[in-house]
Order: sequence, then structure tokens, then C-alpha cells
Amino acid sequence: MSTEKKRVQFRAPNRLIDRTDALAAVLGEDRTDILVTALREYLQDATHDDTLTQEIAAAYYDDEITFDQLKALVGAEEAANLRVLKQQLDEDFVDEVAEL
Amino acid sequence: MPILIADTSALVSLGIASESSPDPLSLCLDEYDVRVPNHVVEELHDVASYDDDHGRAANAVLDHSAHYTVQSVELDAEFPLDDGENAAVTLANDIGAELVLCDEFIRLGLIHASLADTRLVTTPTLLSVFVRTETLTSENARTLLDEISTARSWEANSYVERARLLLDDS
Repeated sequence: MSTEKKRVQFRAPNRLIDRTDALAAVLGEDRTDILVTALREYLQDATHDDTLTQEIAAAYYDDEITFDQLKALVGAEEAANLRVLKQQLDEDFVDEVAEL
Repeated sequence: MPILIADTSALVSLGIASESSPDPLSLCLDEYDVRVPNHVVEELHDVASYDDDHGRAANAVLDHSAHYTVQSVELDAEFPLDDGENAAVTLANDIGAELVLCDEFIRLGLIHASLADTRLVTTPTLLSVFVRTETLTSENARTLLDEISTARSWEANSYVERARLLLDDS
């Protein structure tokens, strides 16, 4: 894993930063440590969400949910991507391409 | 010979396994009249500057340039796509190509909707086409897909997982 660090600058609500500093004081860490930990944990959660999206996709590929249900869960744009991917798995589609 | 327009993402996927035997990049170049938009060649040069699997794959594709045709493309500003994908879609529509090969799974809906008469295929599907045409054995196709999946971080992708099952069935 890269240990290189990048300097970033952002604005955040006062109250959020005050709470960050208070927690940093309790834990004997600095503000950056708390923010980096929070960001890392958030990104891990987001990855877990991707796992959920992949489960939803799998249910759609296996005809356990309809396209409309898929769209309600993941939104129109992602649903359109998954519809194309489902077509890629269709044996008739593979045959059509094989016969070109 | 059917015309296949290749996007950067898919060429990199094929290039990853280009030292395998059989090699999916050469198979694709043998089976199709492969056309590569100039914007895709520029993107390949960018990727090739990195010293990693993707960089080596892009270099392998550039090394095979004698076996595909590079075509310059006037981008269609209407498409909200990256230049390489935009160029692939525009070229496919301009010349009525049979196939566009693209592995940008998160944009496939838009790319698919932008194509007039051209079929869109991804690399995992192309491998199952090769199995169907007996260009590849199931076993070879599975090995190649595993190699490509690892480099492209596709292990957790349900589509790739299902595509692998399709290879098992063939």
C-alpha cells in the first residue's frame, strides 16, 4: 500500500470539526487521524454497498427480480448498464455474434 | 470478415493475457477486421506509460499495431462519453461496423443506446463467442478470463461470474 500522502483542503461545518477535535483530544490523536479514519471507514462501507449492488445484479441476471424492480433499487442509469450485461449472458446473443 | 471496433478498456483486457497461449489479442485480430480509433491509440499510449499490468497490456496492444487499422474519427459532441468510447461509437455508426468491443461496464447502457446497428460485446462475452466457434476450448477460455479478471479486479463482479458459468456450460 502506498504511504505517499496528498494534501487536501476542504470546508466543513464548524460543529463537525469541533466534534472531531474533541474526539482527537480524548484519543490523544490529531484532527487528521480522525478524519482519515472516518474517510477510510466510509469508503469501506461504500465498497460494501457495491457488494449489495452486485447481489442485486445477480438476482436480475437469474430472473429473481424484474427490470422494473431492478430500476427501483439501483436507478435508471445503472439498470440500463445491467440490462446490457444481462444480454451479454444470453446464449442466443452469443450465437448471433458467433455467426457473424 | 466482420469489422470490430475496439475501445481502450477492452484492448487492455485482451493485452493483459497477450503472453498466454493461445493469446486472446491475436485471436481477436485474426478473427475480425479490427479498427481502432486514433483517440483510443492516444489513450493506449497514456496507459502504456504506467509500470503495471495495465501499462504492459497497453504496450502489448501497441506492439500489435501491424494487425489492426487505426482510423481518425471526428468526435460527436452529443455523446457524454470519454473520447475513446465516443470515438468507438462514432466510428461504428459511421462505417456500420458489426461489433464494438468495450469493457467499461458502468457506461455500457449509454454506449449501447448510442449504437445504431452495431452489436456491443464485452471481453468475457467475446471469450464465450470464441468457445462457441471452437476458436478456444472452455478450459482455455476460463484460464484467460481468470487472468484478465485478476488484473481488472473483476472477481466480485456478478456479470463476470455468470459469464464464467457460461464458459463452463459450453
